[in-house]
Amino acid sequence: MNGFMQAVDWSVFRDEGILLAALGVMLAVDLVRPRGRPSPSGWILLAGSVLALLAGVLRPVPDASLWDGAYVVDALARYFKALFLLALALATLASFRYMQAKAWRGEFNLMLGVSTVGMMLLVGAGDLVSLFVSLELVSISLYVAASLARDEVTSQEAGLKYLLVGAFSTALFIFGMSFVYAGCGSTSLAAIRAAIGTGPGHPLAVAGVVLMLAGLGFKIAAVPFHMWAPDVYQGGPTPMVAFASVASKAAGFAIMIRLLVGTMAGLSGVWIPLLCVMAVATMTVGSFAAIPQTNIRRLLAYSSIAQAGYVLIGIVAGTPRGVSAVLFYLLVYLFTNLAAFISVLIVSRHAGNDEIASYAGLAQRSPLLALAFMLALLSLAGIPPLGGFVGKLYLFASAMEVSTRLLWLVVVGATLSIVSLFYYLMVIRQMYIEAPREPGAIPVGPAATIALLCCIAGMVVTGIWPNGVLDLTIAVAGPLVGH
Amino acid sequence: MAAVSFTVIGLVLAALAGFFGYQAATATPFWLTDVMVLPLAGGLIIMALQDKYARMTKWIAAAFSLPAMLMCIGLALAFRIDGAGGYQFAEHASWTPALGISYSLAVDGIGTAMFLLTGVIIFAGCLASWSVEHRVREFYALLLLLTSGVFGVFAARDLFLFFLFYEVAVLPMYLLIGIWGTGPKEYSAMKLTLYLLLGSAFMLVGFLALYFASGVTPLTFDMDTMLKTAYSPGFQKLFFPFLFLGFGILAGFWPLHTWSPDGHASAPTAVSMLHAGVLMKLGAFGIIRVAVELLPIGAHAWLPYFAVFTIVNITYGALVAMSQTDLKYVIAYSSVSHMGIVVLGICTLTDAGLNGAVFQMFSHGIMTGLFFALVGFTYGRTHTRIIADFGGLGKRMPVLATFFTIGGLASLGLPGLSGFVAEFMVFLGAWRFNPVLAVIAAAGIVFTAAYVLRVLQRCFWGPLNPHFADITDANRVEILCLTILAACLILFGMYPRPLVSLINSGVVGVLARVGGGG
Repeated sequence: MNGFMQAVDWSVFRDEGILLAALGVMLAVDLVRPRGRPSPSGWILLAGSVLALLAGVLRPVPDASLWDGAYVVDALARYFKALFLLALALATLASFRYMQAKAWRGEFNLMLGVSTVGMMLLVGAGDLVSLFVSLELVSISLYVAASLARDEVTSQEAGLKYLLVGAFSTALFIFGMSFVYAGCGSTSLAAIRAAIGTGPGHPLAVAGVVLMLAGLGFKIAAVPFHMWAPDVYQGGPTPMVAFASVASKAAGFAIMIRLLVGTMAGLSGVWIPLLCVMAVATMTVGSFAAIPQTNIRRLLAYSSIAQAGYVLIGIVAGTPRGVSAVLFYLLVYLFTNLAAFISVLIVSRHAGNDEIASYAGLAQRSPLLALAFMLALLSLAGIPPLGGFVGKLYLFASAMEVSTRLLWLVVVGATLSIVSLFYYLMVIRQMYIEAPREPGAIPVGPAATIALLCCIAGMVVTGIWPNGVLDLTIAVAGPLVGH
Repeated sequence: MAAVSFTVIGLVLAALAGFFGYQAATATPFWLTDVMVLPLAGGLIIMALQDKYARMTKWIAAAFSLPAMLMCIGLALAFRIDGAGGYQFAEHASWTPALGISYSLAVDGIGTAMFLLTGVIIFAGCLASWSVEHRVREFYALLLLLTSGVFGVFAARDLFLFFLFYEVAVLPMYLLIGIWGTGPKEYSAMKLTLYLLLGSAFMLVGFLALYFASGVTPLTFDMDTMLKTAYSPGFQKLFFPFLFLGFGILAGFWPLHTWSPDGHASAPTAVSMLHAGVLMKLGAFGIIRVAVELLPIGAHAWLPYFAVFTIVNITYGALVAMSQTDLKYVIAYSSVSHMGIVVLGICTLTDAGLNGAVFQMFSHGIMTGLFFALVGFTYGRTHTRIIADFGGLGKRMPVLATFFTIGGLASLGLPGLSGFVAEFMVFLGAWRFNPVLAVIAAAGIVFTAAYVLRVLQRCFWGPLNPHFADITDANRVEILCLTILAACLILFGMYPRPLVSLINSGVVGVLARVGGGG
């Protein structure tokens, strides 16, 4: 045990450490803070996430492998860590004003932070055991965050549903893991990859993959495992929903890339057809079920279900281009969905409800909010010159590159994006065409303005000048595939 | 807010000055980019204006669209027709090498003619919107943004760029019709947008197929490279319908045209002008530029069948126009009919047919712009568009009635006006292609004559409806707008040669690629 500890180079955990240190400071400050003084927990969390992000981007942690590969640092892990920290920083920044009046903001910020640490560990997991432990860290802290608004019934309901469905998916996932272990004789991803090789694979491993797919399906809210998403999106505290909708979904795709493309490429005959079906079902259900919604959060929930279907196309392709398309899209999706949820956060807080009708005349009441929300919706629909278009084009391209057999998937995806455009336009219609129902401007606040401008910049830059991000994602995806 | 407003305006002007200054200093003019950037810059400035300066909006819009129009005329004059013709004013810059995307612009004779059309229509459209009061800044900003997109499509030599500009040209329509339209505007706006973007989804699939099947490494969206690629016949036959129908929706191809009458009738005046006048031409332009030129074998295989549909376009459009009670719907359906002539011309794949098609694109663009402007001006006075309510308006508004007559005569193909030149060439091509189709299509013109003369007679001649005893005639801005448009119809009707040789220099290139001719 002693030797085991000595061999560890703890600097590998520098970025997680920065965030953890911030969380510790936050706890301590909240303990000694005199009653009545506002909690600075939001600022501390923001500082921690920005510092960790800057450290990770400017001085990247070099490649490393700990404990026989149970924890690794590679380009993929670094990319996703930066993504999670960016999501955390933007969500925190945008929700200062929302959180001001909440008694539970300290706990909430802590839970978001812990969940982010969990995600950062998750993308570095190189072993089924460490993967599972960090996945639980992510999930449990998000369950708590979803149900923290103790005075609101919807939040309680959201938290409970999230917990129950999440526990079920976890059970499936770990059940699948045990099958894979039984079939391959190891929990290490490298050993599993070697055991599977290129052949048909052990029947137990095949069964394990199918079960794990179901578990992952819950994580990314893919059909038919999507039922929880609309309820949780509707009831949970908005900052948590905003964060989870981008970061938690990205984490789910990170596991998919590691497990399916990186480890179980030999079993692609099993998971590619399943994922194809899942992708089409997810895009279809997400697009059509959003149409009758009158609640903006439920609409965005179904929209994000549909988005997951598009991202699955890249996983189905399974090529370096496909993986890099997934990475690119997830970053674009971060800016896009955060812009949408920040707008929802502010408008809902002001209007007191989440009805789409409350957005009537938003263009006149707050031009910035309306613009940010419209750009976000258009980017989700895949309209140039926004990042969502380049992302979708890249995803479609990756599928068509593999073989013309995937052409139908692209045709379905492209057609359904017009269906989704319909309900996005319905929201834009409320904001720009309808007259305001109530007079008066909607104040945005400086912090949320900065967050919104960051998101707009992110959407526009990835749409007009995607070169840097594209090259980065290609460099990240290259080594993952085909070894 | 004032500080933000002035900062943004200052930045835009500085960027514009820097851009033009750079070109002057290095003596490397980017003509096409310049034309494209002008409306965009105007739109940005208008958006940044403070509310108290909103009344300056239309002047700013005119100040940016007038030079755009003049530059388009300059382009058409400077385009060298002698020699090879081909693509001129080329600009090329690397953009996203990882995906094979470049910023690549150039126009041939066809593109130049479309630039000229767009320039004329946007300036006339700005004048025709002089009376817009409701949310005027947003109106002009969207109108100018859309125009930049249109210019971009006509000049793009890279499919990614093409698609990007296409969406920029189409999407602002949703808000323009939804906010400033009349009648069932929200329904029409949604229908139009969904139809057109469904078309763009098909296009996108086709573009990606062209991209991957070109077989060059590295992969590229560059259209010149694709022109040199011989796609396999099976591939061409599979993907030609994707591209043809994707663009065909925008060109009003029957039976995918139903967005067009609703959309054009609901849209505000300038938007109808731009949409029927220019945007529908994007569809026909795309068919020539992408579908036919890049997939010639597919074109030869499919176009004879599609030609039959265009006959329905021509006759059905004219028949439905005849039975309309709303003046604007008459014009809207006449566009369906006239665009059928354009697509028929393309379907013949003959020298005369293609020349006629492009000439008709230009001629119909101007003509329908004139019509929609006239309908808008009349509606602004009478507040009705129902034909039965009018009567003898010519007695009170002789100027508007005269312009309406000019437009009507061009529409029914009277020799001496540009519509005749175009339709004659298309029918000539159609005759060589299939005499039966040519006869049916030409018969459709009879219906056109019927509804045009009926409208003229019911609305403008005959006894004056006493209800309109004290309406006024066109004001100066309106007369300027109408004069520009009517002058184009008469000029290119009397003396079509410069425009024909301009267009022909482009058609020669298309035919060289496609084969056929005659």
